[in-house]
Amino acid sequence: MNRMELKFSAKSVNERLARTVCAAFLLELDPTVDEMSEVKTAISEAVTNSIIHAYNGESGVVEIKAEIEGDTVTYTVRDFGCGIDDIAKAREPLYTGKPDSERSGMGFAIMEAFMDKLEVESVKGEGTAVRMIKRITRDEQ
Amino acid sequence: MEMTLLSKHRLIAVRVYGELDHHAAGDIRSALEREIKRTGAINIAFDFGSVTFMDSSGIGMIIGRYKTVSALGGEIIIYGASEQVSRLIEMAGISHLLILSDTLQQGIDAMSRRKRVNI
Ligand SMILES: Nc1ncnc2c1ncn2[C@@H]1O[C@H](COP(=O)(O)OP(=O)(O)OP(=O)(O)O)[C@@H](O)[C@H]1O
Ligand SMILES: [Mg+2]
Repeated sequence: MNRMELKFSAKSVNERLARTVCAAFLLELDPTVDEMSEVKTAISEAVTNSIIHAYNGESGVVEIKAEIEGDTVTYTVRDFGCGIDDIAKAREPLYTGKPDSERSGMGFAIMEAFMDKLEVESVKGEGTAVRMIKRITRDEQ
Repeated sequence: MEMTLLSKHRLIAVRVYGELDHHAAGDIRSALEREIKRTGAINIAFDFGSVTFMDSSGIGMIIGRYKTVSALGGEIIIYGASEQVSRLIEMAGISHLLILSDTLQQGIDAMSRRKRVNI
């Protein structure tokens, strides 16, 4: 079991920091280039959502907890922002709550496609936690 | 980001460097919108050969520019995209809106063919 925690201001400049640290944490499992880029992209989606939607330009904090157990990594991205009203609707591909800000509504669909499992918990006015799980399969060559 | 105007094709060629995320997308959007107004160009060619990462913010930025240029009768060319970027464009289901090519010249050729057909 290995653990990591990261806490940072909800600023767009930190999106790169978050995905880079989360991808580096994975190195222990000897991932492929594709697996690394999938994790990077999924983390970027979750963190960007917290910054854009949860805090909507206001200041705030984003927290990431990561855990490796065996060959499986779990990332939990948490914010303390506005929360999500209708999680099922938010997760639908192409749904966006911000149609005027050049958002494509692809974030959750990408997290779902690039990770093995995606769970979203949210309380209106309290915040959102997105948990993503991925098994890294080491191909013996 | 580096922008070059190819007046003959009414096209802005833009080379994007590094990671195309939410942090970077805003600057690219405003620079391109400004350049389109200033030059009267109606087509954009993105050189993605130096893009090392892209997420849905990049997709949103591309769709936004597509809306701008298609309203002017123009096209979007994307060339040199990595495997990761191409996969995302595929997933977003926007390939049919774009001219995807290996080089700028191939993109411009495809654009000229399309315009001739449309006339
Ligand atoms: N952390 C969050 N806090 C509050 N609302 C959220 C959060 N994450 C997502 N949402 C809501 O769910 C919607 C869908 O999110 P998703 O990431 O799929 O699309 P998007 O962010 O709107 O567009 P894209 O990710 O393609 O730029 C958002 O538009 C927003 O309304
Ligand atoms: Mg999103």
